[in-house]
Amino acid sequence: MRAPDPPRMSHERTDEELMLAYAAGDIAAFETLYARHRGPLYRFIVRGISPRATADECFQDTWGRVVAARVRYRPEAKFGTWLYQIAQRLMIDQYRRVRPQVSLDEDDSPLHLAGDEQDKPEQALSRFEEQRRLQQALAELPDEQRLVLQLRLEQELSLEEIGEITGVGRETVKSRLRYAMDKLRARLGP
Amino acid sequence: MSANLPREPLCPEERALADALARLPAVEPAPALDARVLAQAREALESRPRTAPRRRPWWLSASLGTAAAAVLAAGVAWQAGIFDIGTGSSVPVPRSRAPMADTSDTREAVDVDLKHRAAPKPPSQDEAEIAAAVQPAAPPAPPPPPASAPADVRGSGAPAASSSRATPPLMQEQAPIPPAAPPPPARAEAARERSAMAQEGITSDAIRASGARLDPDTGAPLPHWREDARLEPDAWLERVRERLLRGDRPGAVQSLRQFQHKNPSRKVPDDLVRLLAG
Repeated sequence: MRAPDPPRMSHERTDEELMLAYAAGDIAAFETLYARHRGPLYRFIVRGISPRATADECFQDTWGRVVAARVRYRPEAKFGTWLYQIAQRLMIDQYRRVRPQVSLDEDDSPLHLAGDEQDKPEQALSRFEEQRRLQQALAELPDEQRLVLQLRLEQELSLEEIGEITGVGRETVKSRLRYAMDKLRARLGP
Repeated sequence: MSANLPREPLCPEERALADALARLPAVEPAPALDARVLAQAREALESRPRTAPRRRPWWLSASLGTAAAAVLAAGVAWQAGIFDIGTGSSVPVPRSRAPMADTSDTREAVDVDLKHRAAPKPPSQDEAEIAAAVQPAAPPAPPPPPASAPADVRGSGAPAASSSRATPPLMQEQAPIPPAAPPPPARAEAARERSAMAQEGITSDAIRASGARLDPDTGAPLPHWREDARLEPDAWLERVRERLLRGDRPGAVQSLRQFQHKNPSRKVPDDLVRLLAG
């Protein structure tokens, strides 16, 4: 007797399939989906919003929107695009409420920023200064430029998809990306 | 980032900056935050999705509304007596005091369409009865027919009546009744009625033959109390008194209530008010 086919592992499924499965009542599908996106999405939000508590709130709210819209979800667009679109809109709402302040909370202390515990104190301090400048440079970017830069450099999305998320055309994305990179280079340069 | 998102290779310039960004601490959501998000997703599945309250289709709402309005209108019309038997017309029905022909269908006699017929129809027994009752109660001049009404079957050529008598019954109901002379005493009214009937050759025998209007002294039954509505107010009140005299108290009460309903501005004579109290 032929054994039944083993169930397809959830990690093999695409984001869209997982989202549809979750909408159908499969909580494991959501857990897989969440595990895939939690880190990148969280960093995307944390880099743009401070303090951390506000970023956490925005992060949870983003997933809350996903959960609430599960029944209406249609895999016409990629899940990632949709997810970051939600996050980006919530971040812009947050920007409108209060301009994010550049701050280094406990997680951004030199010890955390230095990363490599094997670094000597001088190297750790140097790395900390570099990362601090980078974070400040990011924070000083106009919101629309920072969002484009993050989506491009951290998520490696295409210009078209960034335009889809941010609601602007490809050329606008390209222009914003160029301005943002020029400012970062200028800030990080010697 | 998910593998589902298209990866567009970074150019060397972008790669250098991306590497710098990647060296930033890889912050992760706290376990408590993870737990909150997952709990949120779990609770959403456990609680049934809220379904919007079912809305009635627009056509059903419209139909119900129309039906309700029709029922309301019918109720109001019924209360106003528009559908009363014997008063089913808002157009005055030509009265006739000619000797009655035997007509079995009393409704037909009072139908509003009668006035549009080419040839005058012989009056029904009810019309004759009403005419007999109305005429004595009114001033001596008989009512002329309305402009569109057929000629008076009696051809009496009586002069035009007062404006109040020319007013259609429905208009009389709607328009305030001008202050009228106090009603004459009941006995005098009845006497006048009988006198007028005698002058016009309407005898009790003739009426009795029609089975509609009998001399009070005969003890023959009166028409149904609803038919009283076709009488002029004074004659109507006299009819009520007549019913009392003949022991038809329920009919008198019903008739008087109908009178009060149709003549709200008309004061019920003191001798009849007691009927309403019962």
